Amino acid sequence: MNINRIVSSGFKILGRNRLRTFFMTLGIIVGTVALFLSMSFGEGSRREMMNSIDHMFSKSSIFLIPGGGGMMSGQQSSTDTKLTLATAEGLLENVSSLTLYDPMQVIPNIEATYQGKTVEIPVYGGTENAAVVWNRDVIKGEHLSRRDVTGSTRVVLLGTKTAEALFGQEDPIGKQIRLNNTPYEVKGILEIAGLDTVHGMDRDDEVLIPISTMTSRLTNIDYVRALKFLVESNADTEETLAAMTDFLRDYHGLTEDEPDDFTLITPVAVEAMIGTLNQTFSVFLPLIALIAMGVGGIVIAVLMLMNIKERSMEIGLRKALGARNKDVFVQFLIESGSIALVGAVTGLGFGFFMLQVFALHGKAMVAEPATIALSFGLPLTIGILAGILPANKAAKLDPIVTLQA
Amino acid sequence: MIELKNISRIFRKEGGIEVKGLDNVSLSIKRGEFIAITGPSGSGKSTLLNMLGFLDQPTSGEYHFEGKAFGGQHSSALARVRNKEIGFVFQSFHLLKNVTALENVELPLIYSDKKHIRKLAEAALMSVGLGDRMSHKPNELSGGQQQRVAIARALVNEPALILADEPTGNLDSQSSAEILEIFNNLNEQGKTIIMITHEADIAQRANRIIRISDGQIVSDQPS
Repeated sequence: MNINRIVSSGFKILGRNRLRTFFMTLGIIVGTVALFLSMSFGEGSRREMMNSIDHMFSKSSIFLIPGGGGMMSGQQSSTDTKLTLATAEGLLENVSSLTLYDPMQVIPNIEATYQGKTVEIPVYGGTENAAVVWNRDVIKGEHLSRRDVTGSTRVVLLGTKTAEALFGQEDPIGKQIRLNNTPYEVKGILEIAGLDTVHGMDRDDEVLIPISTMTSRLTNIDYVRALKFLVESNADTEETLAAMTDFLRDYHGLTEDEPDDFTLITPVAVEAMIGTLNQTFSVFLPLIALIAMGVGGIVIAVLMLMNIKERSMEIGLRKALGARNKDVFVQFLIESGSIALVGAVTGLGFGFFMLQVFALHGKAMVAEPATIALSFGLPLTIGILAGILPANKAAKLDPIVTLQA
Repeated sequence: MIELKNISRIFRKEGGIEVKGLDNVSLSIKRGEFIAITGPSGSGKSTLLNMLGFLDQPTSGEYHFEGKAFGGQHSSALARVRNKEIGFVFQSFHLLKNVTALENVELPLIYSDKKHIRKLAEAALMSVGLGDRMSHKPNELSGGQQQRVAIARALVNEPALILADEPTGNLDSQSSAEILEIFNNLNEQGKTIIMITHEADIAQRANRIIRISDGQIVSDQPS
């Protein structure tokens, strides 16, 4: 028996039934594209998120936040012991492996104006160590100096987007902007930091002022939301955490049976937390795509069954003329397999095309080899599996019945 | 060529009712005969034809074809015998409507070991006078032409036996005459032909007429 001849004979009929063939192919294409894009989207988002995490933790560092509930405890309550710069100085003096710190304090919404242009932006407070501690220098002008912090000077560093919104093409360095109607001199432009996907903020649309200026002029409180410490790279993290805990418990006057009223966060812990968030992208989206593909498989099976019903005369005839059950089975399985193959290849091609389109619009999506293999192999497998039942049904048709006119 | 001994075919319907499609039929057919099978509808004509063409198998009895006993063979083996030994012609032609006359005629060859199937199919179409209609699709052909395509398809693999089930049943009288002419010519060339018909004048074109009623042969005589 000549498989080629049998298959090409089936294809002629398939090729002349364009609409149904088209819909079967379309089902596979949609499933392939959905799976491919959702997985690529998930991977792209995961990497973006990891980048911003890496950026925050590029040096070996420890975060200190108030409250004892751990990092997911949410907003600090008013009864929590406050963290101040004095706390930080004390830690630096007493724990030898800590090298530098910078506070984290932010006012979410402040009006910034320059010559009639107004933007609403978050204002951060920092010290002269901010550039090193947060791994974010200026690309123009100068960063905060020791004098700016000790003297509570009214200087400001702008994120690139804020600078563009207020100044356009104009050079902002040395110009005066107003924050809540108080004039500040623009001292520098901050490096591009991109989106903070963890908190959902655009880190290029913000400004940074000395923490002392912030506490004295804008907030009138001296405690901060968090403190970030840099640790000597060869220091033992566990020992450092233990020493910090000892100091803080003592500093806050906690007795033995009182729990910690602060939380220390290390990069390892943050990555673990991000891993949980990532499941949304890496599991949930592909799961939806899988369901879509399962539905696609059912559609193919149903269309194939209709196909076989419509072609029952053809099948009976082929059998009367000498086709064995096996020949009929192979013919129909190869037909549905080919539809799945064409669908998977087309879907993957379209998926890559969409990847380019999204890339042009700034959304980086990453197609890993595993994604490509899965979004090619799975639709193909489903297409073939969906073809087995109909092909088997076709093979078992009785020519006497189907040829009764 | 063909020997049927005490062939019965019993169909089991719903509720366990048994219907005898063929009842103890014995029959001998020699090479080169042209036989017409007649009888009322439901008499068992088609069942007999299906049996002769290896589409169906008897419930009991013996079937010898070319000296070989058949019964209980695997469906693949029977498919092979149908392909090599039998050419079917149907009342409603059963041509694939989406492909050309030539591709329709090639169909049995697809399942054979033969080579150069296009040439063979062309030759078969020419032999039924359709050399100029090869790339036409069935809906571009008249009923008589379609049945000639079907005959070409039945002939293309050079079978020993041609089985025709009411081949003129859907045709006007002129087309019917053309088809019967082809059958007579094929018979003169030595082909064995068995044809079901319920029209007496068409049965007369055969050289032996078998009448069936209630699954039994009621008469078997030369025309």
